[in-house]
Amino acid sequence: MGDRGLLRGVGIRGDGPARRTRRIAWMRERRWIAMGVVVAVVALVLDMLLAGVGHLLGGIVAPDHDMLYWLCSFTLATSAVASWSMFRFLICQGVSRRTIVTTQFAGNACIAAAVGAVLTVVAVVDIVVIRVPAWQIFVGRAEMIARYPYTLSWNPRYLSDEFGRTAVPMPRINWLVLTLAVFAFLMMAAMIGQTLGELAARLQVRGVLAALAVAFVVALLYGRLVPSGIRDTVDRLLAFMMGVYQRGVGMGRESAYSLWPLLGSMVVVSLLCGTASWLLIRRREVRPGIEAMA
Amino acid sequence: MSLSVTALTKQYGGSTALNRLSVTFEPNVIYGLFGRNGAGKSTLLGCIGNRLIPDTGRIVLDGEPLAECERLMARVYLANERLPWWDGVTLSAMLADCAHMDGRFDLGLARELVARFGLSPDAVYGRLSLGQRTMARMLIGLCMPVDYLFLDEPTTGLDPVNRRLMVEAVLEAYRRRSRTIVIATHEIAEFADILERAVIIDQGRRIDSFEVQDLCSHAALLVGPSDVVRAYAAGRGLRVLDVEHRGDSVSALVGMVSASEPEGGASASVAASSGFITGGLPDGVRARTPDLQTYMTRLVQRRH
Repeated sequence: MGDRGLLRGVGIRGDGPARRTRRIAWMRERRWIAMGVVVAVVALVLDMLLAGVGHLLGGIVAPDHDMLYWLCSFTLATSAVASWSMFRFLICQGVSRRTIVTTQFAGNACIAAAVGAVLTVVAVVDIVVIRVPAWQIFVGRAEMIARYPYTLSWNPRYLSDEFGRTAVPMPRINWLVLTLAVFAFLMMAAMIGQTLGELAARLQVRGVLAALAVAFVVALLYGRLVPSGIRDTVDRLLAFMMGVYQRGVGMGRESAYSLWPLLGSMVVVSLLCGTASWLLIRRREVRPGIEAMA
Repeated sequence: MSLSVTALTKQYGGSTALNRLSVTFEPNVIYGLFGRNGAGKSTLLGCIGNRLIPDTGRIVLDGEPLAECERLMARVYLANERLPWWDGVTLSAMLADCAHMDGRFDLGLARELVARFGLSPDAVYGRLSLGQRTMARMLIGLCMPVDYLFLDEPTTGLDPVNRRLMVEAVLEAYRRRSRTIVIATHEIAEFADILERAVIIDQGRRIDSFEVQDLCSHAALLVGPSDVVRAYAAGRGLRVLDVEHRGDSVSALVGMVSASEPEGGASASVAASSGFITGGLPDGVRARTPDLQTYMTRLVQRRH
């Protein structure tokens, strides 16, 4: 008791505690960014390998989907797991809920940018090595990598309506558009994942199972319950949001796509998901566990 | 300069864990936070640690609201049963992580405590026993460079030797860095020697708060014939907090703190009651100061 009395008044001086918590948040977020990029690359390689094996075996036709869906799905899942699991560590280290949300928001942007860059590099490599015989096995699949932004990037009229139908497409890829389009898709996927992760944390296991069951039933009954007129409108809206807004005919180089709706959608979706994540995390708690009762 | 909790209320569904609880933790004091299971101790600490969100009430550190303020939250650490690390991490990796996060983390003391508790630095946290996991969590808390340290059940699963080591570790950590340490525990006797103040809560409310060394002037046990003890207590204006019948005699816990007026009346009453058993006792009546555990137990059990 006496010793404690002598030690009184020593106190602790803080040296930028707010900076400390942001650093802690980034320490964790960096791991998730690295994981997001690794997962995306693994998805890319796996898909290409599967397609290659399919070609080698012959007769196995891979479903005709865009590689971007794979990447978006994996990024969404990574972001959801990060948002679900990172909270406990950070809140226990004195990081505020506001910092947790904003750090993950920034982390999502980093993941999307990094994977976008990787995908652009893959596309470049694809074009460079396309004449190598060994690569031919993968060519069919490789061409499908990010097909939609790839298509976008081929069209020189994507940004300006003034060219209209008369513009002459140039046989040259615009890498910036390719990268931006991939970034926009992945950013939206990551933000939706963050929101779903927060939602899962709030609903807990039983709630998540119930939500999945409801989503499954709605997906099954969507075609029957929703009139075709509304479905068409939704499809047109989604197509517009994704930038498939064309003035020309078909989906070839004659079409005039626009990147702006996609970028606008990215901003709107990110803001909506960011707001939803903030509203969800504001009341998120780490409740005392069973062990405390032992 | 203190950490004040004012009128804190927290409900889980229909049950009330904290009911307008108010308490103040002064700087550089070691507190004991006592109460029965479900009294609200862990919930109170969870609210202070920003892990739980109170329904109403305020938590203020040095005059500023604590919740969501990182500048202030960096001065507070709660070590409880929820370890923020993944179960697959080794103890040495956890300590390295702490040191990496905050350069002021007392890595030297942490390593010393790991050795003292007989833990292996290479042990994976998830494979440790219940007691070893408790030691790991608490020693990390003790080495955190904070002004307010809250230890929730620091002896869960510990054997008597390790319980004693834990008490010594708390004192050692305090010697190295002066700070407020709040220990929420049921092992009152183990920690009684190092506590300066005690806070007792029950059913989500603070029912008593006092200087441990003043317990002798705060409450007393009177043993003797029932009618004589009751008459003496009434004549001296003492409140009978609890009575245990032992044949023809009773053991009465008396004090100036009433369970019916829990908030705020304690300090004034201590002064008023100082020396209340120093006068002559009636024949057949003996008086002694209860130990901390007896006082807490009997004070709380009367309310149920």
